[in-house]
Amino acid sequence: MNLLSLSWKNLWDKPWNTLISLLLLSLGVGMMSFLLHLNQELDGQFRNNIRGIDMVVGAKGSPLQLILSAVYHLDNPTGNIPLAEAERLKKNPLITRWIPLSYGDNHQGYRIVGTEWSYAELYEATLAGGKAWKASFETVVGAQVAERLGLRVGDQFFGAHGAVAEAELHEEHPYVVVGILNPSGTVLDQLILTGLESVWEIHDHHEEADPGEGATEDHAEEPRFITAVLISWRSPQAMMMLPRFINEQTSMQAAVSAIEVNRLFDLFSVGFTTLQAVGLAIMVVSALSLFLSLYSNLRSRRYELALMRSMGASRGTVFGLVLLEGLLLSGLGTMLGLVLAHAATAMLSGLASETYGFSFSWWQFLPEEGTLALATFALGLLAALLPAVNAYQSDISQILQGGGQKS
Amino acid sequence: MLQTRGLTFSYPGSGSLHFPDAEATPDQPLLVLGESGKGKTTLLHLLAGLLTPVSGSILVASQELSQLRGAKLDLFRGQHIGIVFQQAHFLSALTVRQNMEAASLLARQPIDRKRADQLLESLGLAGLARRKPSTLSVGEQQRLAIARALVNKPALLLADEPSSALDNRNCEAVVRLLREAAAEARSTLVIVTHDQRIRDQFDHHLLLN
Repeated sequence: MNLLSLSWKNLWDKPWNTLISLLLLSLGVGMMSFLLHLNQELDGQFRNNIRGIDMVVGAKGSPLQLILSAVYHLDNPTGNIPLAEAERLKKNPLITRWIPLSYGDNHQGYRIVGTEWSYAELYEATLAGGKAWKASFETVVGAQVAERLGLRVGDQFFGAHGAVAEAELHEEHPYVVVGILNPSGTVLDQLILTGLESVWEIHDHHEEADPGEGATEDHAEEPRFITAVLISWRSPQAMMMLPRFINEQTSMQAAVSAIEVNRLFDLFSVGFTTLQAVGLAIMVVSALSLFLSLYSNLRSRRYELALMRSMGASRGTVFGLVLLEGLLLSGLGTMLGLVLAHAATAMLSGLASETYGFSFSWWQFLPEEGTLALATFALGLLAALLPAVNAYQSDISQILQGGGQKS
Repeated sequence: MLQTRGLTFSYPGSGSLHFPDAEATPDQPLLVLGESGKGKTTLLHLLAGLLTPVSGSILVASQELSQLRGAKLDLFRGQHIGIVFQQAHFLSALTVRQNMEAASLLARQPIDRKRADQLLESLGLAGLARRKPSTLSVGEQQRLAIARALVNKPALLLADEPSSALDNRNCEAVVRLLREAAAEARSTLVIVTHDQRIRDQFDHHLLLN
């Protein structure tokens, strides 16, 4: 036996008090740490995917929806834009990168995106196997798509109309997998890439097979449409001119990604701040509960502490013993809370990767968590300090005499 | 061995107490007799170094107590003075054996499990080592308090009113037990009491008036 085990035994002599303090403390720490992870991951995911995309041009509607849809593939598109009008932007000297996207169909819930190879280059994606698409209906699939659906080079599949997996299939034309991408940790991992023509052709054919929707039209003369264009500009000055020009002079809408993402984070941060305040409140309440538990314990243990002094313990020793109880509890609470938070992040990661294709690095230990652990330790120390000082200052002779007359 | 000279003490706001000189050795235990309010417990706390006298000297095992302060005094008390309080109190989170070990731990003495077990056995507590003290009978608790006070082989064993709550038969038994246990550990026994029944069991008395 040593002083540490003595503290430990004292702590669990009144298990309910200790358990409640511990529970509150780990809940508070867990919540704070979970929020830290969530904030970090969301921030990382959103900033990582934005890369060099300064602006997205698409159909008029909500600019945030346009960004969410075209950059993160989280939302439905705002509509279609004529390819001819979009292509005119290409010649604008302020624009350095111009990536067309045409999407609407999916395979097992994974979006099929008609685009150009520059889209893969934007995220520095490399081929794990196979080659880039050339002909219509050739596809290159993202790493996660290939893994989840077990797709390999040479496999064929049918696209489904819309963004939902259960929608009707385009059964006339199978897609064929010609390449698979390495994981890039970006939105590409969850996409199926193909040429723009594939998307156009499949919908032409689809409409031919459906005489109810004016199948007699001549497709050759029909203008082509795409969903959105991802754009990078030459210099920040372009931000002053381009969006305004597009929004006012064309039928299209320009959404500046930095502005929209910041807007999104402002929305998030209200929630984050609220939850953080709740987490902090729980931590303070838990410290209070720890303080009350130690203090009320101390009242009933006054005689015990005096007894320890009579058996050779110094003032410093009893001070340390009470302090140690607070530290043990806050240390335990911190550990438990962090385990809780990492488990919750891992669970959310699993959920998010299924729904949105985000996966969180839940095992990662954030530097802020170190600060959190230190703060919790300090809180435990603070809660134990007054009871410990009380134990330090007590007049043992008086307590030992009183204890004899009492009870 | 215990020796006091010219001890006086005063509580704040009250008159001072003067104590007659006392002397005791392992072979000459001392009985301090006095009515309530004569400063019996005060004297016991002075001898234990729990209180500091205004003047006078207390010599325990050749150590002048007034020369020790703070943690050094606490440690000296833990190592050389065993105290049996009127009301037996224990560390409630610990078992009987752990309470014995705590007495060694807090006095920074090596934990001697064999000695602890021997003490428990000689005081009739052998089968109770794993129990919590709160589950013991009052008599068992008192014997445990004696065992604990002796675990570090103290030079001085102080007992405060060990017999006052007992009937005649047990009264004699507990005093005998204290004397035997103290003799076995070569400790100088000092009993402080108002209980006249045990007067005849001691040759050396100190009367407080």
